[in-house]
Amino acid sequence: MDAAGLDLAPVLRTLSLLTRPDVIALVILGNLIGLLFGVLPGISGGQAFVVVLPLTYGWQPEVAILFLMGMLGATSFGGAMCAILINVPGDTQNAATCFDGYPMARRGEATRALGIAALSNILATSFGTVVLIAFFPIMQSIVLAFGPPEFFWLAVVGLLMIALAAHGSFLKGLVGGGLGMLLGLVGFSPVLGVNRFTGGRDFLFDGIQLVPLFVGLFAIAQAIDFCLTDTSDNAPVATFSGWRRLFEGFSDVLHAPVVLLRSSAIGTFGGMIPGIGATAAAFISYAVSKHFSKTRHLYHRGNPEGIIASEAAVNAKEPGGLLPMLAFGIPGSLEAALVLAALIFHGAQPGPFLIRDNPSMVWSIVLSLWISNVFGTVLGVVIANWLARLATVKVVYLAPLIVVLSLVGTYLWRNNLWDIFVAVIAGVAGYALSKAGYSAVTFIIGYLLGDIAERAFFQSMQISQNNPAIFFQRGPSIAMAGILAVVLVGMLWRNSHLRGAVPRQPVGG
Amino acid sequence: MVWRRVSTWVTVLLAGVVLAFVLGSLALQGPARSFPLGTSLATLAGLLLILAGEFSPRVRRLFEIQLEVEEIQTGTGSDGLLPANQPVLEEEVLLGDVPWRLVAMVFGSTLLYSLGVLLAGFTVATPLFVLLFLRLYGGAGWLGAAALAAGTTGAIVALSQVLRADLYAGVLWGAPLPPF
Repeated sequence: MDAAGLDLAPVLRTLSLLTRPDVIALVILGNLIGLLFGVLPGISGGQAFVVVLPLTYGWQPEVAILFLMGMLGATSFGGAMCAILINVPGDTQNAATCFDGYPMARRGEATRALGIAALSNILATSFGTVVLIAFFPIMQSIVLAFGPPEFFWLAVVGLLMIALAAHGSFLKGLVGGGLGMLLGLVGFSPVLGVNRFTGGRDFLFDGIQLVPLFVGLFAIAQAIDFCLTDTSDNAPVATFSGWRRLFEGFSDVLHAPVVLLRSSAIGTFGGMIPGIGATAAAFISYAVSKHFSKTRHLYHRGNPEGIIASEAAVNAKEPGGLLPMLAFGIPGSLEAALVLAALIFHGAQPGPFLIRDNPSMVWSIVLSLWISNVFGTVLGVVIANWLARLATVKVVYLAPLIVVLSLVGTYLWRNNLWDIFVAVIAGVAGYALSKAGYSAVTFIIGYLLGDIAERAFFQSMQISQNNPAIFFQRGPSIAMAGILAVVLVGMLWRNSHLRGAVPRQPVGG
Repeated sequence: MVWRRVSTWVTVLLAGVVLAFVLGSLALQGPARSFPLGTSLATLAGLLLILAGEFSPRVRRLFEIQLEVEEIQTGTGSDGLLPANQPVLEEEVLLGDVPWRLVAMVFGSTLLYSLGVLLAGFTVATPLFVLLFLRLYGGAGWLGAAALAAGTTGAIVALSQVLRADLYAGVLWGAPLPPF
């Protein structure tokens, strides 16, 4: 590392990968898959990621990351397209785009709306990526100042923040995280040298594996869930109608720099806070933009600013959301958890020293996120007509395909048949948890954080010779314990002084 | 009413699972015990509070906190970010709201597919699963369902060739059962 904290060698290594035709083809393929999944209502890029992840086993890790991030980065534009053309968000994060995108499409300006979404996407991702890179040296200093007790608290506070923002009650979010942590403890512990919770089963020696768990919770459970919901045919109100209209959309974005910058900043910095999802960032940005707009009376009626506000926040959130994961190994969102899973899957050791020990992997993630957004958006615009038709496909026809591909991928990962049963059971459990108000996201983040938390706990106790006071000795530890206490006590105090309650409105995200 | 909620039953079930983790943790020795025991006890306490909340809305209200941009989402013309001034309770899903027959059919078919893979392998179970699912549940025609079934099977065979991995052939055709 140089004095600025940035080493260019891994950057150049990653960029050189992109001169290989096979890698370029894989990135484009990843973009296509991401766009396809993004444009289908109810199916998220996360599902595509989970289905395809096991199939990348054995690939060169940086190439696998480029391919996987290619999918993740492109889904957002697919979702925006769906929101604009048929008023159904491809994913919940695109819900706010419906408010102004669809009215624009109804008055014959679909292509202009797509142009607005496309350029907002590219510029906001660029903004977020630059901020993320700028923060690397700062995060390095913070990471070096942290010890095991601080990392323990970081895992706990990270889970708390995510539980606060999770769908469902806060307590259920925390409990979900606890359950995930417990599941992560099953199997042989290399740190402690003991078998735990295996019931004598050989199959559980390696624990409940990441891949079948992910596949079950996010691919199978979701695929089954949308089988059970009504899927009416949605005909697109309009399709692509010429490059001139597209450039009008670009011009709209360039004439609203304040909206773009403000929304990008909300997305990027909001994304750095664990628990702020893309959906929340989009709605916050939309609300703020409307509040400060001189044309606020046109919001919800096809105001280009509305599309810029929501799409810029959604796309700027992605780089920002990677920062806690890359710096500390703490995923602050589902997307970051997926990337973390991919890193673990390809042999990287996530955590505070990932940037130091595996910089090419980190740069693969950062650069591929930006590249996939740009490539994916351009590709999406070019094939917009075809993609729009796909949005009308009944997703019930895709459910068995997703189930088959998910289970085949799960099996091919380590050729263990029992993994597919784990995935099916995880799918049933995921469906039941969602109906009961428990969040699968906090569950999976608890699972990922469990190892970090236990390792940090164990190291702390060893350093202090089993004196728990070590968790309250240094400034950062005390600060994080204080945050935890303030949030919990504050919430209890606030809620105990409120009267009445209203039933939750169905919300996006 | 409480026992008609899905949440109540799932919480009871989860409490049972976590209790098993508590008992399993007590059987461990030394440093291997602390973290799992602490985590499982904390999780169990959380579940018991949730269960208490199922019976007492007052307890439940203590733990509900959400930042809602309600009026923006419903487009009622408000502006700015509005934190919820009242705790917003999650939507209750009752046992009667869940289409159990459909759920059983869909999950059952997935489980049957897995058992089919175990017995007859991927190349036999996959086309049968896709065909029957699309036909019986998706309402597709025989020709379309058969085409999709064949295409899916072809795709997974091609995938296994590309990855140079063997698809499980099935116990009936002599494939060994992995250790359990």
